[in-house]
Amino acid sequence: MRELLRAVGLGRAAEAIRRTAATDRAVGWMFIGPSCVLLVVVFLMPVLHTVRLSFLPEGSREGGWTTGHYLAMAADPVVREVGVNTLTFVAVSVAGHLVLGLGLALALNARLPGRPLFRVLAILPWTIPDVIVGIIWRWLLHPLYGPVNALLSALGLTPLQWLADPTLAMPSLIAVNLWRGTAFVMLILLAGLQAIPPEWYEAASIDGAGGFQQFRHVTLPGLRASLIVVLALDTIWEFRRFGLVASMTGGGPGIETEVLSTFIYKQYFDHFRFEAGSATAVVLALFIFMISLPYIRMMVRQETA
Amino acid sequence: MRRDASCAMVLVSTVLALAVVGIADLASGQTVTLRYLNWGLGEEPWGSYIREMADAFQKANPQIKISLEAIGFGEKDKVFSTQAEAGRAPDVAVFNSESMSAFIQRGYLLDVAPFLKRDVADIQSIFYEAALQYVTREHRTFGVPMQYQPMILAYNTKLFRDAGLDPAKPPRTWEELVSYGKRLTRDVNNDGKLDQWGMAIIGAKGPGMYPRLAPFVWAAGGEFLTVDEKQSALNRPETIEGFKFYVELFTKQGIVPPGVTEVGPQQARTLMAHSQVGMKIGSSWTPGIVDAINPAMKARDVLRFAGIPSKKTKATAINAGYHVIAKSSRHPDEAWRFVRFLTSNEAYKRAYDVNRWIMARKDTNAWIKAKEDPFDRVMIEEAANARFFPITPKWPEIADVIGVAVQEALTGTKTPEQALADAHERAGRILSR
Repeated sequence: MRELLRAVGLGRAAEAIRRTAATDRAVGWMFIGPSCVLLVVVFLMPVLHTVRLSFLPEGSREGGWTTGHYLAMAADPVVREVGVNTLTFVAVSVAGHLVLGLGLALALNARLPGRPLFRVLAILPWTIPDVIVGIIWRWLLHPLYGPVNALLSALGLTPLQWLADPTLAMPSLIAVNLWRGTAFVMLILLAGLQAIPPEWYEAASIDGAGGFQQFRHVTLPGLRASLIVVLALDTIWEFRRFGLVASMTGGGPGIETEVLSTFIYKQYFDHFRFEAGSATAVVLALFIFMISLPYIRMMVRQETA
Repeated sequence: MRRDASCAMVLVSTVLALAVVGIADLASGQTVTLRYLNWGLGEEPWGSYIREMADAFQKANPQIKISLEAIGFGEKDKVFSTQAEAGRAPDVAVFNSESMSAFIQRGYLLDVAPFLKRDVADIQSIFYEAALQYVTREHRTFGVPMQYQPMILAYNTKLFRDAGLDPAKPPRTWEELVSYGKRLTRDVNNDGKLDQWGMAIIGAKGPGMYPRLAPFVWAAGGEFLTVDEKQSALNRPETIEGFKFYVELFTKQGIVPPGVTEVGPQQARTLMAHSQVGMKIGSSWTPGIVDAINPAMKARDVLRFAGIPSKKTKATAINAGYHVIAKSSRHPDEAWRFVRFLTSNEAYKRAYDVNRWIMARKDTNAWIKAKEDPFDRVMIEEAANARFFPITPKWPEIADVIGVAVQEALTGTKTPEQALADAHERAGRILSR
């Protein structure tokens, strides 16, 4: 454009356009500059500092370099047990959220009486911060004062040590997590269900497909993108789950409900082992990043499409 | 052109504003502000005492301003260590003994030995030696002792009488403790269910567990670590004996309420406040807090103190606190002036008046003893049998390992012997790092 203007003797106009474009770019950088600085300060610098800490000898102030924390982590049976606890917690929570969330979404997608009220009630647990959820349920399940055991006693049943019994503590924690987190999955899948064109179901029905066949060949394929989003996000969040576990069981009894997030917290703030805690945090972050790759790939494909 | 002028105006305004703030800051530079972190600010009557002390100090030192920072008891270590790592710790803070070794090792605390040498004549005659030694490394002292409270047995005299026990004769041996506990474990309202138990013990992991477990381990002649603190002593028969006795109060003797792994110090006080347990391990703060939970109980009339029942030897744990100055403080001299004020005999007498705390000054305790209060008499007597925990900065991690073993034994996941054997192995790995 500018060359054309110069060619027809309008050099001044071309120069004005060049200056305006450069100014526009500068102004653009001025607007996004603070956000970039914030991202670097709040995100990149702490990440780099944590990675650096993970390679420092314990308690070192002078520097140095070691892979000892990573090697110790690999050999520590407690870390293995905490890792197994974490995988159990995440796998059962995510699967439970998916099954319950899909069921609720299908129910809310159908024209049932009381649907608006049910939708509100279903979302309510998700609006409560997970630390508060943990505190509330800790009291509900209290062996002496809790109403759950009071109800069991009133029904002539034996009260249970919900959070003190090692065989019940993790199931109780997961059950509360399902109660708290299903609503989000339900919302995402409900939106996905409502985006499936009704003509698909009509066509399937005309072709003689029954309820289950329509679910298998229309609903599930139609929900594919939503399912990937939900699976990826929920898995990431459950790996990061801290407040609920810390407030409800503290990782106990023993280390029956200790997960990696609470373990890292204890390494940092109870044991003052910042270097070892950083190594564990780096490993967890890398693991979560690997899990989130399918989701990231999908988002990038959508952006470039 | 118009855009360039707008940008320039924004830039100039920003620079001017910063200059004004800077000038104002310089003008007020004569007053020193000290940040004071104290978990007691969130609890009464301790909070009122701290504010009273800060006001009195500021009146006497108008050029020093005290900025009070409240924090929860469970969060104080985390907040301080985070700020200290950033070089921005509060100038003065208060911590319990279990945090001190780790903080000293990580270089968070200022050596106050030069100040003590300069301003406090004959410090050994003023403060308890064990309290000073605990925070001294190679002639450098990293805190000034504050509260110095041994753990004792608190018991409910009314429940004792109701169970046919003589409140003037509290249990003195382990056998008596179990026997009394069984008499106190009853169905009070005859509904076929137990609603009163002999004793509350701490089964929740945390700093509240170890001062209540340790007296039983030590009383049996056991130890947590070897004398040089380089190896675990958790596999010693005496240690196992004390550990086993503690957990079997619940698993075998049945004198402890259900849900024990969720019972921390506050839950134990709540059980006592509602007359659901006849005995618990506590300290000088117990009657005040029980009273706050249930004023109708009139805790200071109903409760009494006794030494923790012993086996082979009398021993108890000390709950000690320290005033510290952060190494990152930019006003160490002013901070020392404040700490010296807070740790004076007059300040400690006032602390006793407000909170009935036994402090680490011998002159204050002599004054307290002269009052012949039944609670304080026991506290000061038991202070002579009190011990600190190991000094190693790895103690918080080892304590956590022991806490896991306690919970595993209480829940029956492992036998006490197996739980302690696994803890011994883990502690050994930690110490050999």
